[in-house]
Amino acid sequence: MKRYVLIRILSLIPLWLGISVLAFALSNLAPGDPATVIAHRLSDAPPSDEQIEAIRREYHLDEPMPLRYALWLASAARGDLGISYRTKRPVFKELAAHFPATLQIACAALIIALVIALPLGVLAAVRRGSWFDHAARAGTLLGASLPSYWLGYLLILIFSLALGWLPVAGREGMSSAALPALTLGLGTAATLARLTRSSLLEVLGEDFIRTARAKGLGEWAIVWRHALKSALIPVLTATGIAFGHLLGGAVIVEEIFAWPGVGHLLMNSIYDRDYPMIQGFVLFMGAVFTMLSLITDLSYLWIDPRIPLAKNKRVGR
Amino acid sequence: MKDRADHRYKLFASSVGLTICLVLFACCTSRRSSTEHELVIGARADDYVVEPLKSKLGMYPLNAQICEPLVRITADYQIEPLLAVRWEHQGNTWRFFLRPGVVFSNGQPLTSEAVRYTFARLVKGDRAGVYQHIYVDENSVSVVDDLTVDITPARPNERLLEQIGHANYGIIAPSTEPATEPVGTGPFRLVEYQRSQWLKLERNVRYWGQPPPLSRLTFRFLPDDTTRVLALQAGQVGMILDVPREQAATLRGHADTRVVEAPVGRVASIFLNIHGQAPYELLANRNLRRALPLALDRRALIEKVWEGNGELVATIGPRAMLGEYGSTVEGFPYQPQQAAQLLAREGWAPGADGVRVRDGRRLALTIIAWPEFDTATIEFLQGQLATIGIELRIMKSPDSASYQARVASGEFDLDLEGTNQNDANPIFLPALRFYSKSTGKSVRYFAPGGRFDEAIEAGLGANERGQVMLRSAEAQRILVDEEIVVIPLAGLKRIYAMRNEVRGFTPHPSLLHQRWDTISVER
Repeated sequence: MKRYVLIRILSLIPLWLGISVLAFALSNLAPGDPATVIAHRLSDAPPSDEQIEAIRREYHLDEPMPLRYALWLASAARGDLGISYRTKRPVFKELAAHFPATLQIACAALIIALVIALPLGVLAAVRRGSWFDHAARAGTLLGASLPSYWLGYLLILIFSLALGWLPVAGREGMSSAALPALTLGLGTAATLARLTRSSLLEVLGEDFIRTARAKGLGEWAIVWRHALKSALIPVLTATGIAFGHLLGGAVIVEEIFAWPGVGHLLMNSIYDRDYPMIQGFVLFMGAVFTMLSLITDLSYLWIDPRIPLAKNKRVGR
Repeated sequence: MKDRADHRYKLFASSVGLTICLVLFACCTSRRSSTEHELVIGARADDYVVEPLKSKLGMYPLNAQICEPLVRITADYQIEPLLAVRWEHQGNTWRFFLRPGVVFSNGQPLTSEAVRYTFARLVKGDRAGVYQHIYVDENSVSVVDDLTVDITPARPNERLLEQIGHANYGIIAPSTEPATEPVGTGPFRLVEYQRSQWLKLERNVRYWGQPPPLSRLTFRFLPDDTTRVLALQAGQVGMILDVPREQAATLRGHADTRVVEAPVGRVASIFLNIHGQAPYELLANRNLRRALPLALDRRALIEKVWEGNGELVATIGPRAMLGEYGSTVEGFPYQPQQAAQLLAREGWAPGADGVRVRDGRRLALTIIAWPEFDTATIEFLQGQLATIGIELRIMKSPDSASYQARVASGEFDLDLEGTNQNDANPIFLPALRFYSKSTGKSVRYFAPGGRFDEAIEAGLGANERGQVMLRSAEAQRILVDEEIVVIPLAGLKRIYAMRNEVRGFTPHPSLLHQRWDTISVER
């Protein structure tokens, strides 16, 4: 067990290195010169060549790219992600300041997603072929297809304009998290509900369920005590991945709701070609995502200790 | 082992149940309502620079009236006294007499030292050691007495008075740093700034002028255009800035909101790259340049694409900047047949697909555009030029950084821009963008030189405002009518929307000079 965990943790290192290369290359190869952007931002008039060159030297943008990458990586390994071009504050501090806002709506969205997806998926599977199943499938298909910006505006129209229950945008008070969380959560719920249904249907067709039925156990007892446990394993994997997406992929939703999270920070950083911030964000979110993936994998063992660690062993029930 | 797995499974299930209750509780929390004499304004993205020495928090690009400059720029771009009650100009020195009895919001009195401190900070924050825009260096400001201060630019600058009405020259209290807290003499004082969220202000009880009716004013940053409109409709904000023109018509139809258009302070123009390298060298030909404005139906652009939110103009700045001389710039009528004849005369013959060809080369031009311009505008221009056989290739920039990179590279024929007039200097825009000695990097592609430069130099050196207007009009006539380096398309109107309770709002052509201290909320 310990060896397995250690190997999984060590395997993250080359992954993070790959992420760092991608983060650095993509931000540096994108069209747009950060020195020009900074000069425009700080000057009242279009900047001169001399001003732009002075800024390029000041921010070490005149150094060769491999050297800049090596220096950045060395600093990042020490936990220093550099200084933001835009705010002049350490990147890590900026990420730490914005991350709680993103975490707040990501957690709320995940909760909403699970609260909707699990009962919906289970009921749809148990009542397979019924009107409820058809309605649930149609609903989840719609939910998974709706673009988040469209859903966001729709929810504003309903809950803010028509009902007047919730604020349109901004982060002030608990209620302001409801709409962005709902926007993110509904899309995720649709995906998880479909997965729960299909996974449960697969398990319900297995031999040990037939045995349980033959023993005379009630349908709900079979589902609740036997089938759901097995069916939840792929749902758990998908939940872990979905949570990673919610943390790193809430950019559009944060823009719509003026939510001051890391997505909002990333958008501004991309506009300003704030390389340290973009690189820091990608590396940070890459680390969070891979850690979540690891935790998800390890949680299988926690939920069902019979799951084998090696590929060649079969699950015994 | 089985029992342990069961226990964990139940734990997982019950924690999901618990969270349902938490979510329901969060969703049922009601929102705060605003109090009387308080206004929340929905603004666009937060673009304040907040680095020490460079900070423009509360000043630029959104002037919250925390700090005040020495002079004010009126809606017709005239100068009127603000912190300076009068001024004298002798040689290259400007003497300002400060308003007596003015105190900063922290209780410090306004003295000449504050003016010296403000300009010294600007110089220190500028890399060149000279605040280049107005040519002020560390020795330029000298204190004559407590309420008299001299400003002598490092090189002759006749336009200083018209320039220092800009919000960037708001006077700040000595020994304070606007990056942490801007302290000024304006009608409002800063209460709280949360980056990307809000700028909260309250009435400055020490204000020297008429106290503003609003006791609290909040600018809430809502970068998404649609969200801003929805926030107004839902009553979360009482007023919004920069209403997208396609939404203005919708808001006009609502009984509880009204839409207000500001006079033109910004002009959409096409800049022509006359010094480009192949394949962007076609517009070195003046007849080809002359054909372009003749083929553009600008009235149709305003009416059909911009839904009437624009105004026909012939110059690159607001009408008021040129006074009576504005009419000397004629611009071009819409005459596509004449445009086609000009192209034919230059040897461009229609090809099989309608695009003109000469010596095997297609008449194709590349256009770049400031990201704020929508695709519909550019596609309209594309359609118009297609009617005379010019293929317009659109190089859309997703953001300002990629656009700036494209401009700097010179890889374009046409550049669609919006030029803002934020100070009262009538020759500011032509000098900034087209004068060959301007420091701007993009000038090299547009500068016509010769008589244009002479007009600019005469205008920069003139000490009488009418003379400056005359020279600016002359320079713009050369740009628009003779050399055709720029095609002014239309004056853009900034659109505001507010709830009916909001009163006393008078729009200024420049957002930077918009006054909030006249607004009240009547419930």
